[in-house]
Amino acid sequence: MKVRIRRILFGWGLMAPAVVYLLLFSIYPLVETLRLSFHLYRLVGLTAPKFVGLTNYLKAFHSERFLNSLRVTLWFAFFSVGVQFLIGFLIANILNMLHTWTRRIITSAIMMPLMLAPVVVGFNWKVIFDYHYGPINYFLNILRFKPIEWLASPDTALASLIVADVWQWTPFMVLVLLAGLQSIPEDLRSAASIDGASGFNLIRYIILPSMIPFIFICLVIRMMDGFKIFDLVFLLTVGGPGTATESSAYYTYVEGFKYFNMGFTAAIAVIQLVIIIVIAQFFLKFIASAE
Amino acid sequence: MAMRKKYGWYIVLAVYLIFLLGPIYWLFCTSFKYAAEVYNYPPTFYPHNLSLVNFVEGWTRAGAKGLTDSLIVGLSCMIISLVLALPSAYSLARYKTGGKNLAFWILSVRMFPLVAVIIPLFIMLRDAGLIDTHIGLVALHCLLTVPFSIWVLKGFYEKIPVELEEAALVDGCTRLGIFLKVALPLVKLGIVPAALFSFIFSWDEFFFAVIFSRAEVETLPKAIQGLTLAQQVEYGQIAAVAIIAAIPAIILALFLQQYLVRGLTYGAVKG
Repeated sequence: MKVRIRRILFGWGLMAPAVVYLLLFSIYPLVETLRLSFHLYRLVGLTAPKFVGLTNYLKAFHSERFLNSLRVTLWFAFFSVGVQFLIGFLIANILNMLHTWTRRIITSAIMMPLMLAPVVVGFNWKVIFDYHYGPINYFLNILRFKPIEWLASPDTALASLIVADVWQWTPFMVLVLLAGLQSIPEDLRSAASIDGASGFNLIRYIILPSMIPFIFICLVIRMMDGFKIFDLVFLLTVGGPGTATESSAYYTYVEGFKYFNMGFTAAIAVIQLVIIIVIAQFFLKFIASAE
Repeated sequence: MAMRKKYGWYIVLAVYLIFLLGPIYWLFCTSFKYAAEVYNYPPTFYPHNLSLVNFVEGWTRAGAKGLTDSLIVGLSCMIISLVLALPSAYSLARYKTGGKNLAFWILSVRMFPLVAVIIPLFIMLRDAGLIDTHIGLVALHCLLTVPFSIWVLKGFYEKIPVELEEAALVDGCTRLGIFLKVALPLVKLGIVPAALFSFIFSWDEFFFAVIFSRAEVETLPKAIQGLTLAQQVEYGQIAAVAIIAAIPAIILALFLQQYLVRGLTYGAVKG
C-alpha cells in the first residue's frame, strides 16, 4: 500500500513541472477567457471589468461581422481540407506505385512546404499572386486573358488563400495517407483482385475502410487547423478586401488587439472554442460508428 | 494495386511536383535578382544578373536581428520543452499518471484555438512585464511544443522493454535512478525528433511573435512581416530573408523524413 502511494507520488513528481506550466498557461487562461466573456472590459482606459452577463454573447450573435467571419472560416476550412484530401489521396496512391528508393526521394522533396514558416509561404504566394509582377498574371496575359487581382478582388481572395494553404498542407495528407496505404497487407489486396475487384471497387471496399484511422487523423487535424487560420490571412490579405477573407481567428485578433474590446473578444473566442469542440466530437462519433 | 502502373499517372506526379517546387524556385530566383529585375515585366524565370545585394541588404535591415532572436528563442524553447517533457512523458508511459484523462488533456492543449487563451495570456504577460521579452515568447512557445514533445517521447518510452527497468529495480536502483540511468539513455532516439520539432515550431511561429513583441524581440517571422510593411517594400530583400528563414525547414525535410509522419500525427499513426 505504501509502495503504491510512493509510486503514484513519484509519477506525479515527474510530471509536476509540466503540469504546473500547462495549468498556468492553458487552463487558467481558458477559465479567465470564460470569465471575461461575461464582462465589459476595454483594456484602454484601464477601467475595471464590469459584469454584464450574456450581453457579449448576444452582441456576437447579432454581429454581422462576426457571423461573416464564421462563414469565411467554414468555407475556407471545408474547401481547403477537401481539396487537400482529394489531391493528397491521389498523389499518395501514385507514390505507392513507385519503388522504395524513388519514393523516398520524392517524399523528401514533398516535405519542404510543410516545414516552411507560414511567413515564408505567405510572402512567397504574395509575390506569385502579385498583380503586376507575378508569374500567374504573366501566364494569363500570354494566353490572352485579363490579369486578375488575386488578393484584392472579393471573388478570388479567399480562393487564393485556399491555394496557398493547399500548397503547403497537401504534402501532409500525402504523407499520412501514404502511410495508410502502406499499412494495407498485400494479401488482402491480392485476394480482392483475384475475386474480381478492381479499380473503383477496390478503392471503395478494401482500401478506404483499411485506411479509416489515417483518414480520420489527417482530416481532424487539418480541419481544426483550418478553423484557426490566421497567418495566411494576416500576411496575404489582412482580412480584405473589406472583410471577404476575415477568418474568425483574424477577426478575434482585430477585436482584441486593435479595438481592445476584451470582453467581447473573449465571448467570440469561447464561441469558436465550442464550435471546434462540437466538430471534433462529431468526427469522433462518425469514426466510432464507421468502425 | 488500386491503379495499374500506367505511366500516365507519373505525369500527374510530375505536374504536382512542379506545383510544389515551382514557388520555392521562384522565391530563390527573386532573392538573387537585382531590384530592377524583380520588378521586370515580363518577369524573368531565372536571374539574368545574379546578385547577392538582397542578402546583404536584407541581413542588415532585418535578417541579422531576426536570425539571432529566432535562434535564442528557438533553442531556449527546445531545451525547456525537453526538460519539461522528458520526465512527464516517462511518467505517462510507465506510471500511467492521471490515467487517460491527463494524457488526453495534454494533447488537446495543442489542438485548441489559441484565440481562446490569447487575451488572458496577454494580460498575464503584460502584468509580469514580459511583453517583448525573449523569456515571454519562449514561455508562450512552450505551450505549443511541450504537449507535442510529451506525446512523441511517450511513444518512444513505451518502446523500452519493461524488463530492463525491472532488472534495475531488482538490483536496488531507486525510481529516480531508473529514470536517469536506464530510461533516459535509451530514449535518445526520441529526443531527436522531439527537439527538432520543438525548434521548428518555435522558429516558424507567427501568431505569438506578432502579438507579443514590439521592438526588443524580433524573430524572423516578425522581421519578415515588418519588412513587408516598411516604407520601401523590397521584394528581393524580403525573399532573401525568407530564404534564411526557410533553411531549417529545408534541412529538416531532407533529413527527417522518417520522423515526420509519426511526429505530425502525434505518434498515433505507425509510420
